[in-house]
Formats: sequence, C-alpha cells, structure tokens
Amino acid sequence: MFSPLHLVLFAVSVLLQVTVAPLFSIREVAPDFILITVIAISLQKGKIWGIIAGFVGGLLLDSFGAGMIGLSSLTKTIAAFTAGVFVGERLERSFGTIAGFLVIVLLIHDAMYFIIAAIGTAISFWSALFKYALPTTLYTLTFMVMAHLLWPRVLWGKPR
Amino acid sequence: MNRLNEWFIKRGDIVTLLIALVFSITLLFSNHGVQMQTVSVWTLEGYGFILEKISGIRHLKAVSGENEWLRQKNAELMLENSRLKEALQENQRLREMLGFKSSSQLDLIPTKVIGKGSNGFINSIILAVGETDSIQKNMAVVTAQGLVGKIFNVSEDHATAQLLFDRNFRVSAMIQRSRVNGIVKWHEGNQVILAEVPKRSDVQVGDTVITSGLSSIFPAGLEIGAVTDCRDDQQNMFMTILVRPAVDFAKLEEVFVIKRLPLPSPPS
Repeated sequence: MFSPLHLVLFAVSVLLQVTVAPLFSIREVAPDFILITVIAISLQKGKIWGIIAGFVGGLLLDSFGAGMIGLSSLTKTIAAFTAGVFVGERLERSFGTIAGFLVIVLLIHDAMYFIIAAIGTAISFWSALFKYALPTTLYTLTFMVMAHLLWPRVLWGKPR
Repeated sequence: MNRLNEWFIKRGDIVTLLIALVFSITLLFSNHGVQMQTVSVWTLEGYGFILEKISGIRHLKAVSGENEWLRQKNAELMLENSRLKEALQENQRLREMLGFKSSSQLDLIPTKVIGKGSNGFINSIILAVGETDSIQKNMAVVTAQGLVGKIFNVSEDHATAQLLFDRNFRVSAMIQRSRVNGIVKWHEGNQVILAEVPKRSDVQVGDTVITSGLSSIFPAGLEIGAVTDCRDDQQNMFMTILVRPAVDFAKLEEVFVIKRLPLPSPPS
C-alpha cells in the first residue's frame, strides 16, 4: 500500500511541477518532478503502485494543460512499468548501473511524449527527439541525481 | 479457476499496465468529451485552491493590490493606445466608406497567474479567476504588452488559459501596416509564425502583427508581436513569416481576461 510519505511526496511533486518546474525551464525544457516521484514509487512499492501513480500523476498534469489529456498518463504509466522491470530487479547493482538504466527509462518516457506531441506540428521526429526529449531526459536525470545525493533513500534504498 | 486466479496474482502488474494503457489511449482519443472536461474542472478546482494559497505567500498583499490597480490602468492605457493607432489607420482607409461603427470599449478582469502547465509544446497557465468572476471559455487573455492566449477550461474559482506557445493555439491575425491577413500559430521555441500568407504579400521585418478580429474570440487590434524574418520559399505556396511575441512569457505574473465582446446589434 501507499505510505502517507509517498502520498505527500506525490501531491508535492504535482504542485512543484506547476509552480517550481517552470522556473527551471530552459528553452521549453523543464525537469519532470512527477516522473521522479513515479519512478521512486515504482522502485520502492513495486510496479503496480508505480503504474497507478504514473497514471494518476500523468492525468493530473494533463488536466492543467490545454489538450492531449491522456498523453502524460500513457507515458508515465509505461515509465513506471519499465522502471520496475529494468531497475527494480537490479537494485543490488552499483549506482552507475542503476543510473544507466534510469536514463533508458527517462529517455523512453520523454521520446514517447515529445514524438506523440509533435504529431501535427512543424516539429520533425528528429527535432522532437534531440531538441526536446534528450535535453528533458538529461535535465530530469540531473534533478534525480541531486535528489538521490540529498536524500539517498528517496528513490530506492528501502527494501520492498 | 484457481489457475486463472494464480495467473492474475502473478501477472497483476501486466493487468494493471494494460488497464492503465487502455484508459490513457481512450482519453487521448476523447479529449473534448464532457467527462474529460469534468475531470479537468475538478482537478483545477482542487489544486487551484492550494496553488492560490502558495501564490499568496509569494505576493505581499498590500503592494500587490496597488500594483494590480496600476497594472490594470497601464494595460487599459496601452490597449487604448494600441486601439488609437489602429483607429488612425482605419480612419485613413475608411474615410470614404459610410456606416463605420467605432469599436466598443474592452472590459478587463485582472488576475494572477498561480501556476504554469508547461510541458514541452503543450503550454498553459492557471489563473485565479473562474466562473464566479464571469470568466467563460474562449475569452481572450492579454497583458499590457499584447496577446497571451485564451481561456481553455473554467472551474468555479479558477481557469486555465491556453498560451500562444501551445501546439494547438490559432488566432487570425494581420500585418498592421499593410493589412495582410494570416493565421498565427506556434512554430518552434519562442517563436510563432504568421501562416497562410500568399507569396509576394507586403510583409517586412519589423512589421507589427495584430489580431484581425475575424474571429469572435479575439477583438481586433491586440498586438501579437513583430515580424523577425520573412521568406518566399520556392517549394511553398505561402510565405514563411516568423514572429516574435510581444509578451515575455517567462515573466507572466498578472494577466487580464477580456470579457466577452458584446454581440453586434442588428442593422436598423
């Protein structure tokens, strides 16, 4: 089950996403605090709770936007599942290995999000991938590593 | 039955994933449904309340009140100025025409920006006004500098506005100097384009782009931005006109919602 701490973390991450994240935005690239929390839940509570958190968190984020409701919930659901598959079963490994798998998870999420969102716009597939998805992945990863350094148990560490 | 139960327990993650995926894809294809609007309104109302409280901490009330009044005055004067410039040009063109009717005064509702829903190229802001302030869907949102966007979703006390930088935003616009018409839409980064302008139209770098008033959403004469580049491409039927928005979207703190324009009275 969700612990109160996870519920608070989840609610705070949604608030941070619409208040603080835009302040860190560089050329339309902003860190994804909700995704960090969703991955943390997936690693600590298992894939099922991660998927639920990803779906709900994505839906909340989509509700604040102007259209394409369901896109964030779709990509965050998949991110929670892949985090559970790629990383959840490899938590005993080194930080470098885990970070490498997290990059794959983030990149899958961001590539899916921006490629689908770019459909029907002047943005090309490669532009969506290299100008938006990759920078967002690296930016979110930076915040993820900072979170891990400040609070090592926030992403993983507690046994499931 | 037992086998099915066992499988279900064992593969619960796959089942949850499939359910979440089916829901997400269904939502993605039914974006404008009434149910989706209701979910958005609930979310907006719930989180809007908390966002407003956080926003309140950031603003000192006394200063904010005075500031708001001054900004409103400033915006009214800027819009008045913009309309007067527009009226001067209109006067020259319409001198020979009869039956000219002057444009009505704009009714502005000031509000704070309490959150931003920016996610790549899906961009919106969350405003501290709602149905109780007579806000309705599709009302224009402006600052003293020019057009910001339009109201997309309204709850009782809050609203989301779709920004000029959103992938789905469109506004009919024209070059103020030459009256060339087109459609402004987001292009890439912090630039928009004036699309569907035929080749060899009279457009120059530095020209001001304003709303044309051809739609019922945006009043005519609102500044959108300035032309930064215009090209006649061989392959395209239309000109490529890049426009830099007049509004600095990174510094949006207060905006104004323009109350719905009164419907034109039938000719007597």
